[in-house]
Amino acid sequence: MERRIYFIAGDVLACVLCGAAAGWLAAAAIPADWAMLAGMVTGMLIGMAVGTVGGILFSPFFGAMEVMLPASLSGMVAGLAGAMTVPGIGSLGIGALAGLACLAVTYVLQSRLCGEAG
Amino acid sequence: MSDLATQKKWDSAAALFDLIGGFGPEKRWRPHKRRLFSRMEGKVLFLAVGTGLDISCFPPGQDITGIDISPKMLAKAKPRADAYAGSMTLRPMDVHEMDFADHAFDQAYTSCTFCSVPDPVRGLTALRRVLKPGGALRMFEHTGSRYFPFRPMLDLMNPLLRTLGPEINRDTAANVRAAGFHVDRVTNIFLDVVKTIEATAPLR
Repeated sequence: MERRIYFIAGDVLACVLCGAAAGWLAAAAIPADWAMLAGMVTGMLIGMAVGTVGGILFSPFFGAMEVMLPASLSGMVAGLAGAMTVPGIGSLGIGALAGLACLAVTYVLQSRLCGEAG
Repeated sequence: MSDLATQKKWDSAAALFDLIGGFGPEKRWRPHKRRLFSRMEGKVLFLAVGTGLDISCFPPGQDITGIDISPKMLAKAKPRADAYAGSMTLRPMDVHEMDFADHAFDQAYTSCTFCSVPDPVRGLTALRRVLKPGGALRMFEHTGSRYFPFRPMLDLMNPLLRTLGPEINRDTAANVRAAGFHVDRVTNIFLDVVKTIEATAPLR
């Protein structure tokens, strides 16, 4: 498990910012009168694109796959959630929270998978 | 070298390589790389030495030959190789077409290499040829994942990232087995994506 505070802070920053951006963008891009399923899938794709680009931008500072994967996951989930909200503080907040939740899930999986695998 | 497309791709990446990978990723991975490379002994082949970022993780006093397909990467690696406290030779070479004699090396090391080698099984088979029977192959690599949601995510991101540099959804441990090595140990560093793979060349 990563214990260096610089990298933990970087993980949090990347996931929260990618999540917030993806949540807001999905809320802004998807019209309210779309079918819910179409909106969620589109939001997820928008979010994943935001998360991937964000992960690539944060990577030189905080690590490669360790940043890109949780940031992309954050974008994907935040985009899905953001698609069901209206653009504004709410969609930013929901996106940021989704980012934190995705990072927490990644850390739990990391604690289970890290170490000898075969 | 016949694979000019790959050479050109990495020549183009050389200018920004240290900027993109030299700080965050290297700092994050350094403790794990140091641990893996600390077991270097005998005549060592280091594949895809790049701009030489890994050289600072090498234990001193070793006899290391580093190869890379990109002359521009090697030009950047040269000052780092010159500063290494041991014997280090750099050669421009494609892993698929290595001109070393059979069984020339005791050990081979890689660091984020077989995400980028165009034909990984053929490259690993060529590597097996230049390793002594029973020689050690020790790899620090990123690979695909077996787990949801990371597996489909890596598959989706791969077409974009492949154009920038590496492939991110390969099963490198399976490729090592397919090339005829015995895989001794796989250790996950980050999820099941960043890992070390320790393998042995067959005795005959």
